[in-house]
Amino acid sequence: MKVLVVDDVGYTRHFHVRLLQKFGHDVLSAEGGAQALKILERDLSVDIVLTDLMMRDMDGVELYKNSLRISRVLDGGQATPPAFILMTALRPGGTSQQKDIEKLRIAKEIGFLDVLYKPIEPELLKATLDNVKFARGKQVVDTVSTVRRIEETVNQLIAQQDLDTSNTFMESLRGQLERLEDATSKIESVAAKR
Amino acid sequence: MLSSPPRLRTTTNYFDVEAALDRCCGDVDFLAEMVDLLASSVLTQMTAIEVACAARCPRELGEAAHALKGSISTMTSSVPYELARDLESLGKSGTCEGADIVVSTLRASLHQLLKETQQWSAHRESAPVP
Repeated sequence: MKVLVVDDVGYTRHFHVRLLQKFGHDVLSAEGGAQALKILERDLSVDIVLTDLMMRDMDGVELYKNSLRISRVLDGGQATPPAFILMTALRPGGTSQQKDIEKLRIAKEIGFLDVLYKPIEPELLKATLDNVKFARGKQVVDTVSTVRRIEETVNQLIAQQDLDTSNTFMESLRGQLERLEDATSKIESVAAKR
Repeated sequence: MLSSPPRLRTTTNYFDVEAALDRCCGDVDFLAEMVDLLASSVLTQMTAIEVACAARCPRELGEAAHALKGSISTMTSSVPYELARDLESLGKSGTCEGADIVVSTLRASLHQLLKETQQWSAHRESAPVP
């Protein structure tokens, strides 16, 4: 995946860039919000923005809000916007200032995928990015069109009063529904164990 | 007889080698790279703290201390980190009162941290490859 690391502290920016490269990601970096926006404007293929919260020119929350204004129109349609992950050394309930804690709350509400607390455990960072990769790799299943086609087929079978084809069709539908029921009950039992 | 492998643990006060290595995914070369870069980064940030303190500018003090805290967090969570955090809080609360003594203690503790990281680096380089 292509990840953009945004941090105005060179040392920590370099650290996170190297860490993400170790995980096999294609990594870009920006030393502040303004530079990050320029990169996001010209490169619509960025999958994830890993940004620090507190930066001098623009905080991570403002960066996210400004990124929403970027046009993502491509020849083939709309480009998927990048997922935003926030990095912060703030600790809710710690010695951090109330207005900073408020920024954390806003970040969670307005659409940041996750908040990671510095120093970030590498395994947690890896798992968070893997989750994004999994979510972005999922194909959207078009059930609406499928149901519409089934409805049309059923209408035809009723109109033609074709008993044999109707029975075959119902049998194959029942078989597929049973498979789906088995699979969903397995998923539910795994989720319940968690 | 085979030489013993490079010792990664050192008896130090501030440099937490084990935690730092964990944060570098156990990659000694990666940690060594970050150790090499630490001194110049930390010294620049320390200077920014001292300038802000001398100018009695709480906002600059808070920002500079925040940057330093982030940089050293890979290597330590003890005294230098705590002092940087205290300075950051002080600056964010809009004052530089009492900062001078904290800055002075921070400088000394950073000196110790850098000494320990450099010792680790030197030891690593001089240790025979197993």
